[in-house]
Amino acid sequence: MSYSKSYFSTQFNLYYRPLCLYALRLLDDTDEAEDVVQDTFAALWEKRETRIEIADMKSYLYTAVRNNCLMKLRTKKEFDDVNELQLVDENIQNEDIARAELEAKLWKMIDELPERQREIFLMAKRDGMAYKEIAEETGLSVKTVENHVTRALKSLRQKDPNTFLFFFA
Amino acid sequence: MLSNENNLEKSVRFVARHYKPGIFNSENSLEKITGERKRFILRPFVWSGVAAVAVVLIIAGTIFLQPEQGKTLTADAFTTISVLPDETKITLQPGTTLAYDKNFGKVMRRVSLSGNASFEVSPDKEKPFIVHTPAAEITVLGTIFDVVSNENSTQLEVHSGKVNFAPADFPVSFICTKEMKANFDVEQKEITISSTESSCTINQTENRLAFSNSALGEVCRILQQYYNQPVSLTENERNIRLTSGFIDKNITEIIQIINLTLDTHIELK
Repeated sequence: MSYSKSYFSTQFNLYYRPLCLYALRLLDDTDEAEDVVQDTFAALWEKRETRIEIADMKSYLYTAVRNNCLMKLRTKKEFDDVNELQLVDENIQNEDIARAELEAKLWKMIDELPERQREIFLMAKRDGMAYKEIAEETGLSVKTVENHVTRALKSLRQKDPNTFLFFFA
Repeated sequence: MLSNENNLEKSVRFVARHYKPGIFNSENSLEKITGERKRFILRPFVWSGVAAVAVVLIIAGTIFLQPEQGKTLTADAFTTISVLPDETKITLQPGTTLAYDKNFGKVMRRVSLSGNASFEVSPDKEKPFIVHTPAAEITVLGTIFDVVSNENSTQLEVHSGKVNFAPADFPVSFICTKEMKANFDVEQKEITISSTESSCTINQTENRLAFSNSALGEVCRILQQYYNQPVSLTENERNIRLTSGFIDKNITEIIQIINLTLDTHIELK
């Protein structure tokens, strides 16, 4: 089966970011995660004119990315028991995919926050800083910091009410 | 419900911890794969698009490393595809010679070439892949980049991964990452590094430094290397942006100017 560029780009847009987050969980390095995902798609693009048929594109992609990540870990020798990991976890777990999809959404939401709000949000969530500490760091008042974080959370919630209904209450 | 909440909180922290703007973005990356910068092109007939290839090196110089018991690969009339011992794939354009010596792959992976070639470097963090050009030494820490080089200048454009750019006889070196470009002019002793959001130019002949929207952490690193004096900066000021030019100033003056303008606390140690 040969597929068109538009089919390919649909798949790409659909799965690119979740796959990056999925790879990030395994590799813990954003550059490497993105490299693996790009290589996986590049290999897929190369195959477009061969007669290899891929019935379930989504599982194919997750499996390919997982295997490429494991290969990367093995070459880095940071993981002695990669083989074991592979055996134990032969099938991709649905909850891993669901988590990658959720985290991809979170990533996009953070991406879309106004810059100042994002900075403060990251200080709170990434660095685990208290509002008071953030206020000292940025020279803003505690109230302003609180407003920024609340507004960030609010805009996250607005963008995906299902996910966040119970979350930031 | 509680465990869901915990998982979500964990996910938020995980994402926040790794978040960097501009990456994991499908729009920026699709062209790289289907478009002109596609990797893995090893069939000669596709060569016509120069940009279709991972790395392009054009070097109008001589071979720097004389191979002892290494190997010299030459492409005469046809484009030739070869694989190095480390599985790096190379496409040599007609008239191109690439050489590596017997020590290739032992500690480092050094090659020198004359002509025009494309590489897809096999990743190996322990053994950097180093390309010698007349004006600079390029150390490959990642995978995809273009180099155009002759005796007077070297240009580097990084598409993915990390590349260390060290101009010859120049005090400052740069790690270039995705979407960054570097250009070194030998005669002027001038280097320009630019990314999508910032740029900086250092001209050693005129003792001129210019920064545009550069992060203060990077500015301090450059000052430190350029003037060879340790500079300290508090962690929370590293991401403040600087746009400014300094002509024939000493490091004390420059630091004073930055501190006064940005209300920062850079110090000479």
